[in-house]
Amino acid sequence: MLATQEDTYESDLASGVSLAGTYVTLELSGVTIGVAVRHVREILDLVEISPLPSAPHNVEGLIDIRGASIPIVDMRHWLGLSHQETGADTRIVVFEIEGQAGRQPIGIFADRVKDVTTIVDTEIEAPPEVATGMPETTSLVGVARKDDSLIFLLNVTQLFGSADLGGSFSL
Amino acid sequence: MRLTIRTKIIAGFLTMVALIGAASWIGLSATRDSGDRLSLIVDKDAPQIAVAHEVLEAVQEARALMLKYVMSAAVPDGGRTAPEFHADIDDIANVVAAKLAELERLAHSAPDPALNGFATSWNRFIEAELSLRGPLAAASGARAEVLIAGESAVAFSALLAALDATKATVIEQSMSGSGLDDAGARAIAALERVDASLQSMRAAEIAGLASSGGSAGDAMPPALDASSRTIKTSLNDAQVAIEQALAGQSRTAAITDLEAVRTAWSSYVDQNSRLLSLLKKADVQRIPELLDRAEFEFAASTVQMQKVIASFTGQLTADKQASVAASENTAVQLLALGIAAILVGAALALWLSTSISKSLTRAVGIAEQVALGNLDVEVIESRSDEIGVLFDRLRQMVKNLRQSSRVTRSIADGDLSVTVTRSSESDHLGVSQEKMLDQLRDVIGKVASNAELVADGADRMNVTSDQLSDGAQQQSTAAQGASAAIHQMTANIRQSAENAAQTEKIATQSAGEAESSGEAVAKAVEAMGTIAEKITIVQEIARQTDLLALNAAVEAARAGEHGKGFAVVASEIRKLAERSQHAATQISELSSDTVSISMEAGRRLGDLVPSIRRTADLVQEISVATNEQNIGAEQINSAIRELDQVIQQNATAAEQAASISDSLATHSSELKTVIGYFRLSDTGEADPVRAEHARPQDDHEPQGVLSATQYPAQPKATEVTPIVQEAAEATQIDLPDQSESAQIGAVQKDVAASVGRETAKTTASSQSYSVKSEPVVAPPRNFERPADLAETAAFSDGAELDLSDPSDSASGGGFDLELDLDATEAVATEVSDADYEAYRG
Repeated sequence: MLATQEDTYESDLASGVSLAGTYVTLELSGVTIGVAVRHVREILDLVEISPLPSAPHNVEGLIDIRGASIPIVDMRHWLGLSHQETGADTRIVVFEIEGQAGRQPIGIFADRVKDVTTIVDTEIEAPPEVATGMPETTSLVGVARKDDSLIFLLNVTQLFGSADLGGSFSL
Repeated sequence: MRLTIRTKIIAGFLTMVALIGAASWIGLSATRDSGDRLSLIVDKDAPQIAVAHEVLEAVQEARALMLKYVMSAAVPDGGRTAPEFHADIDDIANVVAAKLAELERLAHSAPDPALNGFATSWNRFIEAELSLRGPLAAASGARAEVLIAGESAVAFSALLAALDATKATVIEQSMSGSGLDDAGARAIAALERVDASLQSMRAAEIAGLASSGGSAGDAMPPALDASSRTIKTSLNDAQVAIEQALAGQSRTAAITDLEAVRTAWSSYVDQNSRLLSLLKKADVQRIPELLDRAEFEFAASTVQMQKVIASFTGQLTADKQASVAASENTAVQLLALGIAAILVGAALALWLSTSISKSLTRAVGIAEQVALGNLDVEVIESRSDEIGVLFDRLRQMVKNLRQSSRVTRSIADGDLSVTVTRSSESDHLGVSQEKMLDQLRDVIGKVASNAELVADGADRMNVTSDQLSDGAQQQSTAAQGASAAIHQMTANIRQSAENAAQTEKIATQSAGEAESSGEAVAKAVEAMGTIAEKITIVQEIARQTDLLALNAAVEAARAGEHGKGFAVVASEIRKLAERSQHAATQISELSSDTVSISMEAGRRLGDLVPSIRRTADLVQEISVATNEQNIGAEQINSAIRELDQVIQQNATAAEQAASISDSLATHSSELKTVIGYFRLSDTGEADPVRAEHARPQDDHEPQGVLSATQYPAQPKATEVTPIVQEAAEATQIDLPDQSESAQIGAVQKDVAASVGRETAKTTASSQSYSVKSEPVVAPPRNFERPADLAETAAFSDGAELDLSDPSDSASGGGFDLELDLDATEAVATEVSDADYEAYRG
C-alpha cells in the first residue's frame, strides 16, 4: 500500500496527476509547508546538536537519535527564507529521503508542526510558472489552499536529493 | 612776778635731785676709799706679816740645822755629813735674803728700824755659823769621837738604864690602888729632871766634842757643871721623896735602884771628866765661843724679827681702825642728807598739793554745778597762774551756756524766730542749735503742709478705695466666669484625650493587622510561584503529548487505511493536548498576573504599616498634648480661683483702706492743730509755702517701686519723729503730740503695708499665671480698672502723700500688674473662646 502510494506520488508528480494525500504541515519563517507523510519519519523535540566539522554552510550538524546519527540541515536557508530563532514550538522533523543508498534520514528545524492533514485534489493548485526551473523551486510540487491559508507542498526527496551536498554529504 | 605751778614743781624736783646727787657722791667716794684701804690690807699688811713669819721659821730652821751638824760632828747622825747641812743652811740664807727683799718691796712706809736690826743680827749669825764650820771640821779628833762613842756612851746608856729601872721600881712600889702616892710622884718628877739634865749634859758634851778645834774647852765645864749640879740635886730630891714614901712600907728596891743610878752617874761623870780633859787639850777652844755667839745672834735676830712682826701687826690694826672710822663717818653724812631730802620733799609736796587742790576743788564744784545744769554759779578767782586761767575760761563757758539756754528756752516756748550766734566755728552746740532751728523750721513747715496734703489725700483715697472695691467686685465676677469657662474646657479636653487614646489603640491594632496581611500576601505570592512551576510541568506534559500525538498521527497516516482509527485517536489526543496547553497557558498567565497583583498588594500593605504607625504615634502625641493641655487648664482654673481669692482680699483691703483713710483725715486735722503751736516767723503761723518749696527735694525719693518691705513713707515718718523728739528733749517740753505723729506714721505704715502686701500677692499670682500661659500670647484687652490700680500703687507709695496726680505716680509694680491682669484675662477669654468653638466644631 505504501509502495503504491509512493509510486503514485512519484508518478503523479511526473505525470501531473493527483497530489491528494496526507501531509504534515510545518511552519518555516511564517511560511506553511506541507510534506507528504511518507517522507516524514518522526517529529522530535529540540535536542543538542553537535556541529559537523568541514560541513557545508547549510548543514547545521548531527544529532543522536536512539543510537543513530542524523544530519540536520537548515531548510530555511535551502528555501531562501529568513533565519528564525528557536522558540517553544520549534521542533526537529526527521524526513526520509530516497537516495542511491536507500532511504536516508535528514532533519530540519521547523518553527512549528501544525498538523497532519489530508488534502484533496480540489484544494491543490499547480505551482506558478515563474517559480519553476530552479532546483529549489522544482521541489515545490503544488500549492494547497486550506482553511484560507496557503500550504506549499514540497517534494523533499527532490529538494534534498537534487541538492549538491558537496559530495561529502553521503550518508 | 607770776610764779606758775609748773615753775614750782620744776624747782622742787631740782632741789630733790641736787640732794640725791650729793648723797650719791658721798657714798661713791666713801666706797672708793674703803676699797683702797681694803686692798692695802690685803695686798701689803697681811703678806708682810706672813713673810715675816716665814723668815722667822727659816731662821729657826737654820739654827736647828746648825745644832744638828754640831752634834753630828760628835755623834754621826744617820749618814748625813756636814757639807750637806752647810748647803741646806746656805739655801736658807738665800731664802731669807729673798724674803727680806720682798719685805722691802711690800713696805709702804719708811723701812722699819727693827728690820735693819734683824738684818744685822742675821748677817752676824751667818758669819758666826760660817766661822764655826772650820774649827768644827778641824776638831773632829778620833779620841773624842771614840770616847763619846765608846766608854762615855756605855756609861751614859747604863746611867739611862739605871734611871729607867729606878723609875719602873718607884712606879711599881708607889702604885696604891688609884694611882701614884704623893711621894712617888715627887720621886718620879725628880727622876724626870735628872733625865732631862742628863740629856742636855750629853748634848753639851757632844757640842764640846764637836767644837774641839776651837776654844770652847774653857766654856764647856761651866755648862756641864750646871747640869751635874741639877742632876745631883734632883737625885737627892728623888732619894728624899723615895725615903718619905718608905715611911709606911719597904721600898728598898727603889733605894737600891737609886744607888745604882748614883753609881752609874759617878762613872759617867768620870768619863766626862776624862773627855773634858781631852777636849781641853785639843785646839777647839773657840767652838763653844763661836757657838755661843751664833746662839746669841740667833736670839737677837729672832727678837728683832718678832719686833718686825709686832710692828706689821700694829700697822694692820691701824689700817683697820681707819677704815672703820671712815665708814662710820660716811654713814652719818648719808643719814643727814637723806633726812634733809625727805623733809624738803614732804614740804614741797604739801605746799604744791594744797595750793593746787584747793583751787581745783572749787573748779570741780563749779563744773559739777554746770554739769547738773545750774548756771547760776559765781566764778571768781584772783590767781595769776594756770588755775586763774582755768577759772577765767570757766566763767566764759558759763556765760556761753547761759546764752544757749536762753535760745533753747525761746524754742521751747514755740518761738522759732530767734537767732543763734555761735561762739566759734567749732561751737558744736551753737552749730547744732542753728541746724536744729533750721531743721525745726523746715520740718514744722513740711509737717504743716504735709498734714494738709494728708487730709486731702485721705479724702481722695476714700474715693479711690470705693472705686477699688467696685473694681475688685467686677474682677471677681469676671474671674468666676473665666473659671466656669475653663471648667467646661477642661471637660472637653478630657474627652479629646480619651478619644485620642482610643484612636491610638485602634491605629496600633490596624498596624498589626496590616503587617499580618502583608505576610499573608507574601505567602500567597509564594504559593503562586509554586503553581506557576507546576503549570509549567503541565505545559511540558501537554507539549510532549502533542508531540507524541503528532508522531502518532504521522504514523497513523503512514499506515494508511489501517491507521485511520488510530489517526482519529491521535487527532483527539492532539486536540486534548492543545486544550491542556491552552488552559495551562491561561493558568500561567493568570497566576503571573496574580503574582504581580499580589506583590503590588504586599508592597502597598508594607507601605501602609509605617503610615499607620506614624498615625498611631501622632495620635499618641495628640493624647500627651491633650493631657498636658488638661493639666494646664486645671492650673489655669486653680490660678483663676486663687486670683478670685486675691481679688476678694483686695476688696476687703480696699474697704479697710477707706476706713483707714477716714481716720487718717481725723489724725491729719489733729496734726495741723499741734503744728499750730510753733511760730516760724514773726507773723506767727507755720509757713506752708516754705514747705511747698521744700517739696522738690522729695522727688529724689524712689518712686514707682512697690514692694512689701520698702516704703519711702516710713523713712520720712521716722525722720520726722526723732527730730520732733529731739526738739522736745532740747526744749524740755512735754510734747504730747509726739505720740500722735508717731501714731500717724504707724497708721500710714499699716495702710501702706497692707495695700502693698495685697498688691504684691496679686502681682505674684498674676505673674505666675502669666508664666504658665506664656505660649498663648494675646493682644492685651483693654482692662477696665487701670486707674484704680494706679491709685492703689500710688497709695502704697503713699508715703509721699502726693496724690495730686495718681496717673503720674503709678508705680512700676502697678503697671506690671495691669499688664499681667490684661494678659490673664485675654488668655482666659482666648482659651475659652477657642475651646468653645472647637467644642461646637
